[in-house]
Amino acid sequence: MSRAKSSNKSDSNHGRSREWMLAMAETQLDGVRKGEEILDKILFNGIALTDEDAKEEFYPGIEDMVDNHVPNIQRDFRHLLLMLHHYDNPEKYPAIVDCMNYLLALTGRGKKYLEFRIDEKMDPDITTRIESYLGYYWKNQDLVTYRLFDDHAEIVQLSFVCIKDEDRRIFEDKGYWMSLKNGHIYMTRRLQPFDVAKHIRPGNSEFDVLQPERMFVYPGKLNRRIRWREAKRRTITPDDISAVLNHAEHHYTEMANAMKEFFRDPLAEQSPAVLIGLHQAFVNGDQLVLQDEYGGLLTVMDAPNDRYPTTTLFRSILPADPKGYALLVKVNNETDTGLFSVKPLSVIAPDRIIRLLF
Amino acid sequence: MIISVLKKLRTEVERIYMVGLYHSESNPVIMRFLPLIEEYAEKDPAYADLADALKVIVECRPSGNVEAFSKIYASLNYLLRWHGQAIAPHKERSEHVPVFRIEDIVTTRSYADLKDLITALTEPVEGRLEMIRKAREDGLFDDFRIYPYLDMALSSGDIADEVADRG
Repeated sequence: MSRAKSSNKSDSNHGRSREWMLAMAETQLDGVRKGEEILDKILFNGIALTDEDAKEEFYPGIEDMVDNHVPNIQRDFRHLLLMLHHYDNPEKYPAIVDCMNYLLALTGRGKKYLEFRIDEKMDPDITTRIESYLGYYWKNQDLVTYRLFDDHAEIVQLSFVCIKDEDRRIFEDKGYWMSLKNGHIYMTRRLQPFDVAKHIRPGNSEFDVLQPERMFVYPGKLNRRIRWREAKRRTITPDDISAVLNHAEHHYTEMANAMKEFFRDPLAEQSPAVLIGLHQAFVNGDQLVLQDEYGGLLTVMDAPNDRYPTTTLFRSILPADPKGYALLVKVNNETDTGLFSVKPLSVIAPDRIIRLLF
Repeated sequence: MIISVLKKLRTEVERIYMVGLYHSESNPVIMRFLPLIEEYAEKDPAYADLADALKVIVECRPSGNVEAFSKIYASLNYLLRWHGQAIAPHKERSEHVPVFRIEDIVTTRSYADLKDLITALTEPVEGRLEMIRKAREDGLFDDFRIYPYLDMALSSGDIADEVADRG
């Protein structure tokens, strides 16, 4: 773990003493252990035998997490409990398995992280998203304390989508943005429960360049989450498009290997977005393949059961000679095909952005 | 070969999620592949983690198995993704030919502009035919991003005729 050990335990951390933060970590660890106990029982008996009586037994433990400062873990366990209502429906098993896998990763990594943090009296980890996954709410003041902000950012939205998650009963707005200054791809994300969505202004595509007064950047490695209060805007120019194109990665094999290594952390973003330069394309069997100038190859496809398919659209417009274009892609989070593949999100043409989503 | 072994192990571990840890005691699938995983463990610590965790679950302890399952998931996910190939092997290659001229494609309509039409095409919402008619009047069918959803609508019996007639 890469956090610096604290040298002064009494340092004030934006009004919260380090002792307070460590005491909270202890409480969070108790919450993770409660989750671990529930998973242990489910694994021992098996999901197919987790009937209504068993769920009644888990319910108090999950509700009890409310005092443990782990709201996201609690939310994810509530979701598991909802999914377990389908314990006798094999069609729902893949979704239940996904949910179990995520919670296993979260409790496993979360416990290890919190134990280490408490033992070594560390500050919160700002190099990964672990604190957010546990449920720590990063206030603006926290982000300022750790210098996680940019006062001179200019950002362009490259893609936007609103995903309807029937199982969790939420809408998820997700936007990918590029900083014109450093080429980093950031993400905006907003969750809205179905019940309240109609009372909230929905997210939308953004076509201008935004200049946030102060852009707050959440901890993490790739596609870090951003937010801002107020932003000026200006019309996008050809120079902006050139800047975006200049930040494209052109070595597919290096990119793929870096991503694969990134997935060693089970809580790392499993479908990161990356901008790649285009060079050549051909069809392999029935799949579109991109080839970089060094001979590196990349298969373009939608993941199975993707509700927002884009590959057919991309194939229909990709020029036979795509040099000078770039493509925003999302790495597919699936292992069934045996391929390291990507889903196309937006084409960056020399004069404009062509969105395959929104 | 190792990819096929890792996939079989993943299937077996997910089966244990379903049927319970009782079925992991000296599990024949895990016991069969464990020596190979141990062999690979000398090359990559991820295999070592996997081998150690598999040994724990075949003991079928009454509790304290979450850490082992957590390691198994993390290792299998990482290794299967690590072995992901760039392209499908042994396929015939052919030239890519676009359908449309990219110069003609414009996507300046926002999500808010298109979402009602997409909802009407893909979900049985009240008043969907009216929404589709209005979208047609507004020229939204000119946006090529609508085509996949139009395809879905044309494949579903209840509104296919209406869309085909008016869309």
